[in-house]
Amino acid sequence: MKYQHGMATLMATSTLLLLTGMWGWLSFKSVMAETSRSQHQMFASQALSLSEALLETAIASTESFYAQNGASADALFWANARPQDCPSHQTSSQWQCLSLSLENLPLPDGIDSSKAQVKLLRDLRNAPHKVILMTDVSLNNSHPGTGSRATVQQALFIPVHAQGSTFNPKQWPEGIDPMRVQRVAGTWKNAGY
Amino acid sequence: MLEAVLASGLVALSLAASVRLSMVSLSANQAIRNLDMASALAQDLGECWGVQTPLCLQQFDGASAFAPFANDAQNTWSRTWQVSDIAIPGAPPGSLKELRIKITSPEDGKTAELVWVKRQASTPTWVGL
Repeated sequence: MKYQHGMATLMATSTLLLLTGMWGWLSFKSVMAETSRSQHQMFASQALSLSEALLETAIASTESFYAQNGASADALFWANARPQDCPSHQTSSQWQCLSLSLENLPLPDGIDSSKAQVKLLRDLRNAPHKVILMTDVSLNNSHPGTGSRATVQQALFIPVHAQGSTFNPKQWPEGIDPMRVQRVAGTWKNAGY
Repeated sequence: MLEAVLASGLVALSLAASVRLSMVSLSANQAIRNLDMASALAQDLGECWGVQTPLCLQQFDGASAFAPFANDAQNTWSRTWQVSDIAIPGAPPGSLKELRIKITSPEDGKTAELVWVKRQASTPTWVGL
């Protein structure tokens, strides 16, 4: 009788331990999942910040190019535009798309240069002066969040008709150089792991 | 008797595992809290650098060592930053600036470090129609 009672105690203890162990394991998994989520969120934010940094670099480079080359800047800048560089929903002939070379750009640390992209596109027929600049960035191997990716875009105003008989300086906002590249307010952002 | 010893052993083992699990969970929770806070502090300073309001500029005057959690004043962190010019071929100096924020926090006897990079081109925002 005593032996039977001991067995029952042992079995009851074992069952309870099994259940407690399972509950503990699930709790542990939950905490680890939360840790992982928090880390991924931060990596995505860092990728977004680096994507914005590359966007700013490309904006500065574009502005510098237009400032240096004057009236011929637009033709020179878009000389290497190719239809293959257009996004899938903007493939018609009215869109002009350019993939900017990253060789001469000072890239921010932490970017995977083999996957980074800077693209510019514009509606050549309806708004050649409005360029959409898009950057796509992934974190490189030196970063704990390798592979985290983010894209951002910014519209720029490019003064393509800022000279000649059609240009009326009175219509230009005071204090802004008509030959200067300018941002159009509003930036779309996206980030993911 | 043997069953009681086995049951006691199992209970003791589970208690030890439970304590260990709690410690790991606590440590993980603390790491999450630190990570979220470090990330928020870095982003806050980065955004402030972009807008340059008086309230934001005050953040750049503050001491680099601080205690981020009111209930843990002994846990001091440091936040340092550096602004540098990034050279763009053909562009005048100051066309592109980089803010590098570094946040260090103590974690399990070591020092965790978070680096955040922000860049800003001097290109103005279009104010026309």
